[in-house]
Amino acid sequence: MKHILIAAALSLSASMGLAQDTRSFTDGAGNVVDIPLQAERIVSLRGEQFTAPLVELGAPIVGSTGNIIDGVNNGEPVIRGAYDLFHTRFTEGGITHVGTSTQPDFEAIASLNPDLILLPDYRAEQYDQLAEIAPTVIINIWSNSARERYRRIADAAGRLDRFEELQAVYDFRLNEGRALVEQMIGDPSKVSVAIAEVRDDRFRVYKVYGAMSNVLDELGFSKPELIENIDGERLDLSPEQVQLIDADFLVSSYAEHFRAPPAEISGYWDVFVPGWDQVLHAPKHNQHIFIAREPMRALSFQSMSEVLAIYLASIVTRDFVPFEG
Amino acid sequence: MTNLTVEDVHVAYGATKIVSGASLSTNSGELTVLVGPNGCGKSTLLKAMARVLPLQSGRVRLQDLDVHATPTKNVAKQLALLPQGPIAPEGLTVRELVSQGRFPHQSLWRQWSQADTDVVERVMRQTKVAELAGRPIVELSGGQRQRCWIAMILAQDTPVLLLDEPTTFLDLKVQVDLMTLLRDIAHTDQRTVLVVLHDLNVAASFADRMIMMKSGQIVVDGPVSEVLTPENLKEVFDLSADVVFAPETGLPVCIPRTGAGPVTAPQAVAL
Amino acid sequence: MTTSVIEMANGRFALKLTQLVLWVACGLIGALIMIFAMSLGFGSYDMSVAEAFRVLWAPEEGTQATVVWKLRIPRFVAACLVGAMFALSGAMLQNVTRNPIADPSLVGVSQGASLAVVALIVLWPDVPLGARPVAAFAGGMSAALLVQAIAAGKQSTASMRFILVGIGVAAMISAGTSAMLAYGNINQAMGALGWLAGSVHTVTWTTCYILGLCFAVCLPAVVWSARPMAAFQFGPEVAISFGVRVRRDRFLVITLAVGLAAFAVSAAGPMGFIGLLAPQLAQRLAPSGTGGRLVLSALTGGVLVSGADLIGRTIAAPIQFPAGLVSAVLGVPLFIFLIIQRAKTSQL
Repeated sequence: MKHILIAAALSLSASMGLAQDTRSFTDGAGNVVDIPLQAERIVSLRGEQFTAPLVELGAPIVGSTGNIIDGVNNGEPVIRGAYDLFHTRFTEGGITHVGTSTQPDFEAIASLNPDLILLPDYRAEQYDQLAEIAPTVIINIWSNSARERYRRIADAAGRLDRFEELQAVYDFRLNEGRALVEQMIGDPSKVSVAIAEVRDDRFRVYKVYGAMSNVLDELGFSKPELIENIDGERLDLSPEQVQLIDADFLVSSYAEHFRAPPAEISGYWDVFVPGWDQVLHAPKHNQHIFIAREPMRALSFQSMSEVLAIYLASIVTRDFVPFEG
Repeated sequence: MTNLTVEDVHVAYGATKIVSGASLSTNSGELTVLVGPNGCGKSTLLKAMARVLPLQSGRVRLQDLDVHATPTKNVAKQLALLPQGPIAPEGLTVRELVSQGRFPHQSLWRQWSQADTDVVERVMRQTKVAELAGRPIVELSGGQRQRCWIAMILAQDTPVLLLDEPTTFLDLKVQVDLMTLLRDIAHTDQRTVLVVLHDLNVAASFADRMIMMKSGQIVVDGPVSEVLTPENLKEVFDLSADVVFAPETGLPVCIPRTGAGPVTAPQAVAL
Repeated sequence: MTTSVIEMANGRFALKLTQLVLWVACGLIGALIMIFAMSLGFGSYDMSVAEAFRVLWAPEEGTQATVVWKLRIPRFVAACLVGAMFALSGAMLQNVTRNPIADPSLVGVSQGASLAVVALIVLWPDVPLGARPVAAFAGGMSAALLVQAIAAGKQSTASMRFILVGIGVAAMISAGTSAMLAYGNINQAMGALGWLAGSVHTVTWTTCYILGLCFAVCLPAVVWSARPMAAFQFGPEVAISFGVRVRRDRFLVITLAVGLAAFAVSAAGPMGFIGLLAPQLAQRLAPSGTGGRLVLSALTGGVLVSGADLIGRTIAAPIQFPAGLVSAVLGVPLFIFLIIQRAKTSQL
């Protein structure tokens, strides 16, 4: 009898220890995956889209893709977005580098014994191998809004409660901002803002560009018609079309101080679109705003809060010359 | 005895007629030479005879086989063609090249037999390239190379051989050697050998029979002594020439009139 | 050079090979076995070669088994097959066109397959991944048919025409692919770029089965092709004189070459140099007749791609270099070295 009890107790404890509690999760590609209730060893296959929000959520990441970027982090690989926003780094026993997003090292991922892998939808061809290693969840990047994407990531990681907390804080600040807009401007759609950049002989306008466009949309500002009608995220223009993007404000991104600082970005404009700062209303009236690119691109409430603060300071709470289009 | 007969053959490249109504027949044991001015269609006729080019109308017969209607593999055992200026793949040795001539006698499953070895060794001796057997083709002189090609089509072991300008770009002595070889092949092996040539004197020295073509048609056909006449040369080649007979061999030789005035008798004798 | 005739069934079955070809073939098979052993034992997952072999004999559950059976072996198998198929395709095109630089990527096959896959990724992102091989095959085949249709003159068997038309069509198709990438959604364009790198990074056993099946289907045709190809190398006139049905067989060999390349591209993306490099390397290791050349080319292609993949995934891990890139980086200098070595005795 005693033996039977011990055996029963042993088998019960064994089954409890072995079988991790799981739940069923339908991912962006429609795969139904059994994933842990709360993942303990997550591998992220996209820096600014997955690793950055996971860091913000406080989720346990064991591996992430990374890139070697000339002149950044002493030539060591960096997790784009997460490095810039949270100074997240690859460390022994912390987050391990598992290669690039294009071709991650599957064996390095297997070595980490992950219990959840997050994969962007445009790398779905890697799904079969990854699914052999650990439960793998595909997150749709561009077909989801930033918040929906973030929510899906938090849900997969089992950190929805933390997501709600962070979202509530940001929404509180956003609502304060919206109130400020109403007080200072009235109807926000009367203010138009264009996001545009000149880089590598390419004049490009953006409809979607990380927190930079997301916060503009959430505050209710409008865009020039050309940008509003873009089917997708961005469009390359010829310099002759510069007047089509005229707006009250112009927003451009810059990289860290030594890679592509704002002065250099303005230099590109001078070369590729001569006279741009006379033709366009915004730069002519000192209404051209620069925002750091890498932190802004990280999917996080922190990025959105920072960009919100920038917009409140440089658009909402100041006097500006309205563009008479 | 295998005779090759051409019956009222017409050949065209697109809309351009090259051969219009050529008829001839060749006999075993004879070296027949086909001559004519550039562009007269002699090479085209040869290619049509070897089924490289399709006929517009007419027929080419090998005994009772229609060359263009018989399975090409069967024809390959009866008729071999050496085109003008063939190119050997890089690195190929003489024996390998000659061995390729056994192609029609082999199959996917039976790539080589003792009979193949025997034929290859025999034709290499016959063409005097046996001592070069292990050397790459590219290292050989033009004359040696041409002997190897002739050995290759001999290895095909066909009663009929067609050769398109096999002596072009070669020294006179080498041309003579090659033509001697071809004549021996025709005479001793009792094969039909038809050669397209452009050098009339070399042709006259070796041919048993000469055929002259002009503008896609056969103008004269017969023994060399009857064909190579000043009248025919004028008509076919638009060439004013004398035909004299070599003192030793009695073979006809064509000497163009150069237009430098009448040649006086004493000078001619001195030659 | 000593020539052996392997005879079976009373001479009804006889193969002719030089001994050098046999030795080189054995050497290449040895190299493949070596690469297989190293592919089993080397990688980012820490496991000794002995352990890997233990897992090979006793495939138990666990991460080690997953790494060996699901990651390392399919990659090796797919690399060998893809390499062999590109190499055979190149060898056939080089033979038919009588041009040593012919290659599936020179005459538009790889480009056609690439355009089809990129178009699928960019224009119809919702189409499942399984459609990619089908699209690649259709694209490669269409490009080849287009080239054939334009190049095939009334009487022409001119090989230069095929090459020139191929280069033109290839350039046109590449421009289409670039346009597609430039105006596609950025994420989709990135997905397409990953595929265009030419790698066996994402192959699974399913890929291997499909590739293996394609290879098995093509194999009898490859064996058949050796004979017409032996005649083609002397030009169409001699080939006709040898009794080969030149127009039909030429078309069949080109179709076979295109099919092999299209299957390979559909599995691994375009790998530019293998089709050029492998047959040329094989020919320089051991000059041989067409049958021997096909065997040696296929083996060389397998060694090149599997070796390149092994190096690409281990040398800078966790950074993974695509096999197509590594084989070009390592193969081209080797190729040039061999050309210089042989310059004294050969014309090329």
